[in-house]
Amino acid sequence: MELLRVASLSLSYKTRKGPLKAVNNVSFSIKKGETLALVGESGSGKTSTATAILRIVPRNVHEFKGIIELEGVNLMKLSEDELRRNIRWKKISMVFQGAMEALNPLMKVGDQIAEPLIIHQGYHKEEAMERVKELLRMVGLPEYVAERYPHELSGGMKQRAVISMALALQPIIVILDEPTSALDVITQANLMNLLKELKWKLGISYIFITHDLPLASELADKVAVMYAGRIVEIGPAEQIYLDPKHPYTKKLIFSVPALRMERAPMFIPGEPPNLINPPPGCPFSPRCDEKIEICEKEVPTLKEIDPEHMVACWLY
Amino acid sequence: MVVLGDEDMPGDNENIILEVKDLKMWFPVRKGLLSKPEYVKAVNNVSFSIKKGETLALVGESGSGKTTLGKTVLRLYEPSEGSIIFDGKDISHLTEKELRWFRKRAQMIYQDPYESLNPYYKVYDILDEVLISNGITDKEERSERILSVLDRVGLTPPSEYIKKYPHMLSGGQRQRVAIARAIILNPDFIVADEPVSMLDASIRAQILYLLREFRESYGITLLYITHDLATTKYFSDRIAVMYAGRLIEVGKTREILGNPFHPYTQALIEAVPDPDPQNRLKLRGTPPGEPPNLINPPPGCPFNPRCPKKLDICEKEVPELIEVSPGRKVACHLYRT
Ligand SMILES: Nc1ncnc2c1ncn2[C@@H]1O[C@H](COP(=O)(O)OP(=O)(O)OP(=O)(O)O)[C@@H](O)[C@H]1O
Ligand SMILES: Nc1ncnc2c1ncn2[C@@H]1O[C@H](COP(=O)(O)OP(=O)(O)OP(=O)(O)O)[C@@H](O)[C@H]1O
Ligand code: SF4
Ligand SMILES: [Mg+2]
Ligand SMILES: [Mg+2]
Repeated sequence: MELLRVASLSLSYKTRKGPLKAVNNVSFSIKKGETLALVGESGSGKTSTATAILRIVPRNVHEFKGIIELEGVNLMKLSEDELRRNIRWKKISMVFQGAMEALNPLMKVGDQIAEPLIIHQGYHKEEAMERVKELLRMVGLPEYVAERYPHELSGGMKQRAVISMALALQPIIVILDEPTSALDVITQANLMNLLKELKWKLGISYIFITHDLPLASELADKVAVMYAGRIVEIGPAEQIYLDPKHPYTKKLIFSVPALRMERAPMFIPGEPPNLINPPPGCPFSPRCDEKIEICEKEVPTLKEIDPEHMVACWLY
Repeated sequence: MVVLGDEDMPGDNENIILEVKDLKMWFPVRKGLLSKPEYVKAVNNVSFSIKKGETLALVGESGSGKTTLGKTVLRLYEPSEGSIIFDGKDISHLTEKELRWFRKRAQMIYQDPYESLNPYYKVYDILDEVLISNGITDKEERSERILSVLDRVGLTPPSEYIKKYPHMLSGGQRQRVAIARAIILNPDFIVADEPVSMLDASIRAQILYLLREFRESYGITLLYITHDLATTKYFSDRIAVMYAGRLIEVGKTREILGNPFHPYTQALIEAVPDPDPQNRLKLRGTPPGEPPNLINPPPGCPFNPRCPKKLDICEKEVPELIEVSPGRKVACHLYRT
């Protein structure tokens, strides 16, 4: 059985110029222990998809619908209270984009990790501090970090602390939203090593959000490529990286300069589309050099072209 | 294509546009009012040179001193010690007035196109200001140059862009305006400080190709500051690797990437993932820890606390940057002869 099944998920925001479709009919699923990378350019709707799964949506929601099924239970049908008590942080947790910069500067790191355990889970102070030590060890931090303030830690250490918070209640899915984008390459590599080890040891599934395709290959079993709020291609990492089908995926992969392979980067001409008044037809059509007549008229839907490999493009 | 010269020959200085010798840029910091100042040794004993028309990539982790080095060679800072020779003239301690000729010939492109452009100026005025402040009084000439430079950076048709404010442009378009501003005076030398790191991957290459085109068609010399090693492979001739304020390896791009000598350069390259689905199956070998504090760097080689290959001497003596093969320099005790 699928661990998580998302079907026809849509989320739009009210804006002054009209509704903005940030997540448009998104569907995917994840098996236990499997990692899905959600990749796409800035504004393609990655964070919106993640927050929709946890039902942490901003006030200016215009429309929010779809199915989010965790182990067979549709989270959309649960009350906010049930969601808070049984799902959020316990089953699915999230490391928010920029979270390490959002740590409270006036509070010791250990207390920040312990706080939700005490307030929401009824831990005693000592119990919670024991768990904090355990969590710090798990993410490769020395115990003394508990006694430090955020500004006394390096970026890499802060990010580890933030990850330890997401692990506190032993979730089965952890959503990581650009967890390394502010870090240096070596620090980033160390953190990716940690995420791999946690995955192997604890059998966690990640939803790993990034705009960095090479980085996504460090974790992804499966890759979903987002463009203008839609998934335009999804499939096993091998197929997406080695045999991409959607013209956008191809362009995206070839726009990355490779260090070990010999492949000069190409680029994608034009600009990403406006999400308030999207172009008719395929959202990528204005920038696509393989387009055919129908592309500018009708929106292509995801079609399975190989087992587990789906593409939304009129060429297939 | 600009054909690049061979290795530096002793005495072959004609082609060198910038030469930096034993450069130090130390920033004083005071803990308390009465305490002695300490120094952030952001650039520490750096020597290198760049040939005309060449692109030298300056790479290294955050805080290693790349921006400070770039700003110091542009004389946005006055160096604490050492010398900067631009086109044969020592500019290390010239006054702002004496630097006027240099300001026209050397420009900087900043990392953040959102911050580097005045939000209250239209694109036209951003560019016009540069021309006016450099004494170009003829209005028609200025207008011509502005339209032509916008065309050259790919903002076409220019008439569509001149009336826009920075916030009306995408990140890529803004960086094009920043590039237009940097090249409008036809400089010989540009320091591009992480010019694409804020942009989406799909437009990064576009901007880097644009910079390369200027180098090829106008012979502009470029100091390309980046922490993205993969781009250096396609957009630079040589690489200088910086660690804790010092240069630790310098050489031709392909030689360094293909066969890095310094343990830090090796670690840096090893840490970069290529888009390869096999990556998820294995861990990366990386050094532990993080770069040192620049106020009190460790004695000896600044990399020694993290270095997997260190020798006894590494904790005692700072290794000098020495030439180990033609054009290739390394600062590491493992390569002492
Ligand atoms: N609360 C909101 N109100 C209105 N528009 C929003 C809101 N949050 C996000 N958006 C818009 O929705 C679109 C998708 O945003 P989202 O943050 O999900 O993208 P993303 O893929 O995570 O981008 P990035 O890589 O920059 O983080 C963007 O156009 C964004 O401007
Ligand atoms: N004006 C200044 N006064 C004091 N310290 C400074 C100043 N400018 C830079 N520094 C310090 O000098 C060191 C080098 O900084 P610099 O910005 O040159 O590094 P960088 O390699 O460009 O880093 P990044 O990749 O993060 O841009 C840092 O420790 C920084 O805090
Ligand atoms: S000098 Fe020593 S410590 Fe420094 S990099 Fe070389 S071997 Fe390592
Ligand atoms: Mg986001
Ligand atoms: Mg910098």
